[in-house]
Amino acid sequence: MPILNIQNLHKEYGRITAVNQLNLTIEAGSVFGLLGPNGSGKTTTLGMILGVTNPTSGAYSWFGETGSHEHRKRIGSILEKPNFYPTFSAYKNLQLACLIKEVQESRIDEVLEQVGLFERRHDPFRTYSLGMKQRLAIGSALLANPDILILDEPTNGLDPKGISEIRQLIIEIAQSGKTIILASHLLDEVQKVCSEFAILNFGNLIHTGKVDDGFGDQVLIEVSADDNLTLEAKILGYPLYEKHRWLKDKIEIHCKSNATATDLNQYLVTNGIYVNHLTVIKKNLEQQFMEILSQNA
Amino acid sequence: MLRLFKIEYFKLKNSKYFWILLGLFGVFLLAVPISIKFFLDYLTSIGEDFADLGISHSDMPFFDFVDLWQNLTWIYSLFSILLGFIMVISISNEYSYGTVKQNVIDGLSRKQFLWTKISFIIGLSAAVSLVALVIGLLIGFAWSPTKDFIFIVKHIEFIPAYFLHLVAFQLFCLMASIVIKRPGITIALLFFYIFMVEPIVSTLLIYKYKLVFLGNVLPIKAIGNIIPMPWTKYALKETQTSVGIDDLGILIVYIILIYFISEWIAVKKDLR
Repeated sequence: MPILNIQNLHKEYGRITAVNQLNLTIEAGSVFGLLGPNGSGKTTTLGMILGVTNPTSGAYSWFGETGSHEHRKRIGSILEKPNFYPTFSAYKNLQLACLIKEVQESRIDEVLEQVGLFERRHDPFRTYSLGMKQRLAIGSALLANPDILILDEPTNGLDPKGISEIRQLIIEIAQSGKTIILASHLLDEVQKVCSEFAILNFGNLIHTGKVDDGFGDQVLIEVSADDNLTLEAKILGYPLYEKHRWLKDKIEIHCKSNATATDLNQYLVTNGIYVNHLTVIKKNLEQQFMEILSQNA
Repeated sequence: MLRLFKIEYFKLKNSKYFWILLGLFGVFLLAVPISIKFFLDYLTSIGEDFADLGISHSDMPFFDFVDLWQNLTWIYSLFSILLGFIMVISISNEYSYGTVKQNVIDGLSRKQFLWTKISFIIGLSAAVSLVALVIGLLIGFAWSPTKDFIFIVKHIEFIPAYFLHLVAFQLFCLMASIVIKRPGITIALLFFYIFMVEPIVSTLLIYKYKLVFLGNVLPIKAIGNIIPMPWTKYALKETQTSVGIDDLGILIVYIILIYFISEWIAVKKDLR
C-alpha cells in the first residue's frame, strides 16, 4: 500500500514555479531519498504535504486517505531547522508535543535516551548546541512512534561527529522497519541510507529509481599489473571489452554487462598476466545524479 | 476545545512573562477599589473642612450598588492592555521561533492553532470577569449603603459586558500580532495606535467634524464603549448608565470581523 501518494502537486510563488505538477508515490517500508540542488523544491514539497505551505493546486493522500492534520499526529517530521520554545527544557518541549500529538508522556524518557539527551533533559533548549537541537528534533519526530518519518536536511550545519551520529540514528530507525523520506542535497548521505530516490530540479521531478549499484548496461572494472603496458595490450582482446581509460597507475575497463571480475581475471591469466589489483567499480549516486542532471539540463 | 485550551495554557504557564503580566493585572484588580476607597475617605475628610468644595462621599457613590458595576468594570477596562500583551507576546514568539510551524507539523491544523489562542482568550476573560464579579460583591457588601438584591443585580450586565470587552480587546491584539508577527514592533505599534492615533482621530471626528458615529466605531473606541465612562454623571451631566444595544451590536460585529480577518491570515498564508 502506498503510504504517500502525491497527485499533480503544484506551487507557485508569484511568477516562480517552486514545484511543478509533481506526481510521486512512496511505498510503506521504503527509505526514500528526495534529492535536488538547493532551491529545487524539496522543502516546498515537504511543506505542502505537512500542511505548512498551501499548494496552488493538486492533492496528496496519506495512508490512502486525503491528507489532514490528523495524519500528521502519526507522522514524525523535521522541516528545515529545529523549531522549539527556547526557554523550555527538552522535556517540556516534548511534553507539549505529546499534548498536540495526543500520546502518553511515558514515551518522553525513552525518546530522550534514544537521541542521547536524557542527561540534559531539564536544561533550556536555547543552551543546546546545534547537534543537540537537531537530535531533539529527531526525538520529537519519534515521539508518537510513527510509521513514517520525514527528515528534511537532518544533518544540515552539523560537524562531522554530529553528522555521523545522526546518520547512525537514521540507519537504526530504518532497520526498525519505518518508512523514511529523507530530503537532502548530500548525495553521499542518501546513498548511505536510502533504497530509492527521486530527483527534483527547478521544481520538476526528473528522475525516480532505485539506488542501484550497477552501471546500467556496462560493468566497470579497475585493474593494474606490474607491467601495465602489456596489460593494456592484452585487454583489447578481451571478448567483453568495450573501451578503457587510464587512471594514474590503473586502467579502467568498460565491459559488456555480463562481464565479471572472475571472468576477466581468468582471461588475463590465460594470457599470462597476473594482476596486482582488480576491483569492480560500483557506480555512486553522485555520478548517477550528475548524469541525470546533465541529461535534463 | 478543552485540549486546545490546555495546549495554550501549557505554553503560558511555563513562561515567565505570563505570570508577570497576570500578576501585575491581579495587583491592579485589588489595588483599584482599595485606593479609591482611601481616596474617597480622604476627600470626605477634607470635605468636612471645605464644604464649599462640593465633594462628599454621597456625591460620589462609587461603591454603591447599581453604580458599582459600571464604575468598577470601567476602571478595570483601562488595564486590559496587560492581558492584551500576553497574547501579543505569545503569538509573536510563536512566529519568530517558528514553533507555529512545528505545532502544525506535529498535528494541529492551522485553524486549531488559532483556536488554542482564542480558547485561552475566552477562558482567561471568563476567569477575570468572575474575579471582577467576586470583588464587586465583596466591596459592595462591605461599603455599599444599599444591599438590596434588586439593586445588586440591576446593571450587573456590566460583568458580561466586561467579558465581551476583554475578549474583543485581546482578539484585537491577536489580530495585530498575526499581521505584524514581531513582538517588539507589535507592542510599539499597538501603544502608538491605542494611545495616540485612535484617540486623536476619534476626537477630531467627533468634536471637530461632528462625525459622531464614525468617531465611535473606530475599533479601540468601540471596544471601550461597551462600558461607557461613568464619572460624568457625578457632575450631573447626562451619562449612559447601562450597556447600549447599539454598542453591543458594534462590538459583536467587531469580534466577528476580527476573527475572520485573523483566520484568513492564519489559514491562508504560508508559514515561513
